[in-house]
Amino acid sequence: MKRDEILDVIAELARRELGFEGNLEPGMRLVEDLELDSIRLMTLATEVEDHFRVCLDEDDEASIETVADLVAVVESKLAG
Amino acid sequence: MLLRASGFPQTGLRFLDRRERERWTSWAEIYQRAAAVGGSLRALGVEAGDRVALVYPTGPDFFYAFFGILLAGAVPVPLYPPPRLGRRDEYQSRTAAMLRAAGTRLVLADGRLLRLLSETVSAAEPELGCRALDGLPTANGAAEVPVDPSALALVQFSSGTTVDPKPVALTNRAVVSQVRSLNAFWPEADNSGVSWLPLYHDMGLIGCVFPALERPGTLTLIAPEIFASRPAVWLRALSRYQASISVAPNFAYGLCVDRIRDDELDGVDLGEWRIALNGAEPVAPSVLRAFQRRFARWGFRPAALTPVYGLSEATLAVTFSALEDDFRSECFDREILASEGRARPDSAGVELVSVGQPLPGTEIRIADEDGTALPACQVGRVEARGPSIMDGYLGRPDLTAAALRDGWLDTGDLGFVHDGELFLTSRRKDLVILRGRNYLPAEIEQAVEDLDGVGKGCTVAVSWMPEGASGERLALFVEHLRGISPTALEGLPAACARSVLGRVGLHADEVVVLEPGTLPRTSSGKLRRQETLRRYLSGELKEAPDADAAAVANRRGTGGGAPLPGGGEGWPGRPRTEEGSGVRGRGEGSV
Repeated sequence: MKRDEILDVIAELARRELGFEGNLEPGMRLVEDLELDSIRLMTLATEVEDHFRVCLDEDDEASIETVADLVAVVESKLAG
Repeated sequence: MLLRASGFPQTGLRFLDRRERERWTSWAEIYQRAAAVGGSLRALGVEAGDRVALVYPTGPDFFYAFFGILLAGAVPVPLYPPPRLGRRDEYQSRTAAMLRAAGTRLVLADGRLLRLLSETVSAAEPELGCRALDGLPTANGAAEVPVDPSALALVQFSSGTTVDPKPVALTNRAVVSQVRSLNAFWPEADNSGVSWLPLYHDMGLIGCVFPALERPGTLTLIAPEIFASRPAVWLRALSRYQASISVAPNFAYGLCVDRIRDDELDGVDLGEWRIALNGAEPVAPSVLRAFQRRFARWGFRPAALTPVYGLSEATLAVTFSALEDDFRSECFDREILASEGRARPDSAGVELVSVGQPLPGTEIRIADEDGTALPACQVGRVEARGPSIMDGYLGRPDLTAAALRDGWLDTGDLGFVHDGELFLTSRRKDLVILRGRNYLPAEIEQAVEDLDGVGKGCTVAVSWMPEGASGERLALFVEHLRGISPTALEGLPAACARSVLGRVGLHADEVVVLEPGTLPRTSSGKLRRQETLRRYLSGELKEAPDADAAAVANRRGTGGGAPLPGGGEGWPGRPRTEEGSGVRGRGEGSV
């Protein structure tokens, strides 16, 4: 799966499950720009894992700050 | 208890994963595995009375570790696992502070968390380090230490914070007495429950797991993150196992109303759910009604909803409302309640929900500032006495002396007794309660004070339940520094909110910027948080003129980026009900 396809899917999850409106840009930070609180971060993580059938572990999550980081982690999980 | 329960092979814990697949562990298996862990802990040098922290997600390993620690004669200190996708530095310093406050000698953790925790652990330096269960030495024999009723059963934190964690020390006697009175309160025949509550939370561990163990019965456990992202899993599990009892904080009932789609409940029957306890945060009548209406179609019994009240200093529960009746609410004259502190029924007044009567063996009283008992319908300090009250805060005689007087625990809550039932009005203690979790204000204030343009000790964080709202609101009151530039001043509310979101994971509903020296303080210079809130709600607090436009009631519009719709509670999906959306603006105060 290509990066922009992954981004599209995440944008759709954010729209459907988090009520996000507007364009999801790779450079957006999950907390500061998307304004996700802890319960929404939890929801996003679970939805991403469910949808892509991947499992994000502690080391992955520690490195995720932006949408692009999340896309990159999903991409490497799907490839590996 | 565990030994006795292991004689009932049909009972135990059932874990559901996010695809709702089952994993079953009987109490007997938990006992065996825990005894082995206990033996290993003894071999490692853990001694009776040592505090051993444990950090696990919801799963069997938590219980092998928890009961293993007990069987080794040590004292478990359950701590929460890291938040998902969240900032780790805050989590690390908070966890390190709790490890130190509890005087922890060893940390047991899920193998996947070891690397993350290594930094935290090295900051707190527990003598025996941090280990996973498979990293323990093998022991010759299983552990079994005779139980001393006055020994500590566990240490729980009334709120998690970097600033001044308060470790609540509970004896075996207090915990067992609490669990027995809970089970005595629940009908004998009902022996199946479902819980998604975190296991480091008193309501999850003492309120759900221990009663199932004591009965013994079977409990179905769901990880909290699964509930948060898919609340329908909770209701589906209740239906699938025909469970009769489950407990959750107020916000969870609102989340179900907001987020569950009808098609997620195909074939669900909630008719067996007889006891739906609602506790750990203030109960909103609008949320109760919205839940009853919404889920009546799936057989939900309106009378199942049972508001309760408790706090970790009392092990867990203090009062319960009647199980078989619909929840009870009354309206009281707003003016007399606010000005005279007296409750006078008035059908046009403010609606309050009764949290019921004390558990058997527990007493409550309403007292004034001097500790003198007040008559019915007078608002005062809620105090509780009984066998489940804590011995004190671990290693903090100063805090213990302030909270306990002649066996009476000052709960820090304010309320009155009307018709023999307790009604809560507000809090005297400085505690922010959101989504069933407690935060010390200092934790939130620190996130603001590190910003440019804000001084140390110049921020107040409070949460309260506005009349008619569906939950508590978080407000920040921030004094700006003198000489702050107009641009910085304008951006200050958004910056404060972002910092709190990033560091504590909470949405601030209101950010109010004030002139220097505006916040009420004591003569010794300490901030008076409840007085700040009172002044704000009565319109006495003057906002800084330049920041007025920026300090909006719903500050999301100024947050930059791409805001989510609605307030902190506005989930997409179904439209909120008329009552459920009753979040009022500023100034429409609590009582």
